[in-house]
Amino acid sequence: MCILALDALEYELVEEFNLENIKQLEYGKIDISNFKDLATPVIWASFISGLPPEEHGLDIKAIPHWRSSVIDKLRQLSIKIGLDCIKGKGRLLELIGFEHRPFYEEMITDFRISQTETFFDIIPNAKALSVPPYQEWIDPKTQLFLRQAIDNEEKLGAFEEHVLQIFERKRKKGLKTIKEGDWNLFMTHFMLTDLLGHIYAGNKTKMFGVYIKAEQLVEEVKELIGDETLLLIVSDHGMKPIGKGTFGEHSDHGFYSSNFPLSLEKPKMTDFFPLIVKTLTQ
Amino acid sequence: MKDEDSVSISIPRKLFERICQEINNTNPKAVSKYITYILNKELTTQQKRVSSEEDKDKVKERLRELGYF
Repeated sequence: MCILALDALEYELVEEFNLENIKQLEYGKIDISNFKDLATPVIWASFISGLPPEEHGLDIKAIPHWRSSVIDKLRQLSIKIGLDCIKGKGRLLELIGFEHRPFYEEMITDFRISQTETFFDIIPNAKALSVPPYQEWIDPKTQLFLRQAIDNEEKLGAFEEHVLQIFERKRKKGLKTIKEGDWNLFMTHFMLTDLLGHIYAGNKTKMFGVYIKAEQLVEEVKELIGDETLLLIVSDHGMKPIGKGTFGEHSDHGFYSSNFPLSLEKPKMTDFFPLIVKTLTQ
Repeated sequence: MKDEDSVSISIPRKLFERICQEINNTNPKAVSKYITYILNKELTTQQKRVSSEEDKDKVKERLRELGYF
């Protein structure tokens, strides 16, 4: 089974642009109404573990940004300290040996500490590439470029180029793994549709350009895996424009499609786990 | 009609026929002119979309809440 996780792929745009490779035999919306925050790592944690957010425990609002060896020890004992609510503490905390770390690193750490079982732990010979929050899926440079692109229109080109370069690198790596064929389950995650969606959701021409890249990727994957392998395409949420401009924010439904009938009707993110495990362990 | 450099792009026949019907003209040059007009108009409309300061603040707030920065 091959799973393509296309972050923020919007159901409505897949329909509007009529992306036939992405739509596959069965496709539809995913119900994500049980998530308080439509946060990428929280939703994917549910997908790979089959647990709702209250059970896997990953909470975007409870992620600390300040770390020290003492804090790490306390966290291992499930004791959480809320330093983020203290205003203007940065310099002081640095002076006494604290370190400021990006949220995604904290999410990965928290998820590892929780020892939540994922389908990567259950299915023999399962491979993952950039799957949040199991692995690193974004980096500080991308975060910086995104912020700069929102603040300054002149930086849009640099951000777009950076995102496309990362997509290209991941695409090549993913296709190489698929070609090698040494896996029962391979899941790979792409941020392309999310990052450029936040910038261009209101510009259909730009969005078409982004979505056609995803469509071409799916076509390449299909050619490599053939008709016998189940290809599941999933997004954690969609993307909708903010106001009358081009910026975008997460919409309240995900997307899925499969080249084999799954007979799902508006599934939840947690409905895929038993299906995947059952298919690959029988 | 060789007023500018042009390239050939294919479109589905059904769409071509639909356009012919709408513009009351089956000449491919007329259809090509119509498509050029529509695409120019659409590209300009999309490029003219500008986000307000309010939109900018909103997207920054959302991204901050979700941990992007």
